[in-house]
Amino acid sequence: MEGEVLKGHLDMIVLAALAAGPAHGYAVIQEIHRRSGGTFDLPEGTIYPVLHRLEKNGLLSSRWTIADSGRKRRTYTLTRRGRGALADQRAMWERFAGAIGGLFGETRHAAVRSRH
Amino acid sequence: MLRSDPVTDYLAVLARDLGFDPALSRRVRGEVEDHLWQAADERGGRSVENQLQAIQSFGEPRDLARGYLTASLLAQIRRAGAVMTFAAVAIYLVMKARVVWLDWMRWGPNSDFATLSAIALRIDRCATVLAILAALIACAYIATRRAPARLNNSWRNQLNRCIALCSASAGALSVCVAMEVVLTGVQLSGMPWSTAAVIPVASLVVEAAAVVAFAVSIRTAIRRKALAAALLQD
Repeated sequence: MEGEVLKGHLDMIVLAALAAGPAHGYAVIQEIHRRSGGTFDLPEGTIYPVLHRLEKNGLLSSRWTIADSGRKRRTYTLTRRGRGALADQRAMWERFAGAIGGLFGETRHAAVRSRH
Repeated sequence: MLRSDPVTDYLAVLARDLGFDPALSRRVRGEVEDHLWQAADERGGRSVENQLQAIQSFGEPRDLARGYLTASLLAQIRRAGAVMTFAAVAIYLVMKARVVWLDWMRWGPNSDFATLSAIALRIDRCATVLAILAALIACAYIATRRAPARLNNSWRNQLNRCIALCSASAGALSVCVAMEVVLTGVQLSGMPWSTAAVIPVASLVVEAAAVVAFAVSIRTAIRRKALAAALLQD
């Protein structure tokens, strides 16, 4: 998918990836890749400033934990505000997708009519 | 001689690019280190080739650093705004406490310097009003700013306005404190020296320290803005 198009929706994508539960940056990237069927293929580092910004805006909280490997890692969790923001964005996206689907449906029907 | 590996080299470059915010740099470095080692491990181990692949998938350190610019600059300007509020309140309270102390000690104005006192008092009042006005406008302006995903010209102008408002308030507060020094000096000049005079002198030191702390926080914001601009130029 086009990087610039994707960047406009990164906040929603990252919030959605964290809806299942707390995760660190690498796991968030893996989750986005898995759930999008590999469609969302951004440089992995792109999500870190997004995680930071969402945390600053109170949509995520984070803390340092120790991984099984013994390495320090930052784990992010959706806050109540973050869950609310995700629900709002999901509703908006569904309305938008429905409207675009309707437009394309009309276009397809018009094309079929013109062929007959 | 120690040989560095690609991940260590990458982290060093990233830390340098994030030099505009040392605390952020430490945090991001820790996160990215964990990410890159996990990515290399999942590719089968920490060979140079696996490390390079992990780095390639991660992206350029400079692009990552640029992603943090706006949030970091906004955080710094908010810090300057908080220091400004603290400094203005501290100066006001200390000034009132000093006036009460001088009244209690019955140290009235020195009539030998009546004209100087009158001028200093007038400048002090004007500077106080200006400092409070600039501080209120700066607080309201800073509080309503939001960090965009990328630094753009419009946001850069907003940042400049924040710095200008804070600087105006700092300048007015400096004049205010300078006039307080003159007024207190005039009042103390006619008195015999005693340990009780330490209190007003100490209160002036506190006021000066508050102004210096405010000026330092503005200077940090300006310095970070300059470092951020350099990051965007390359």
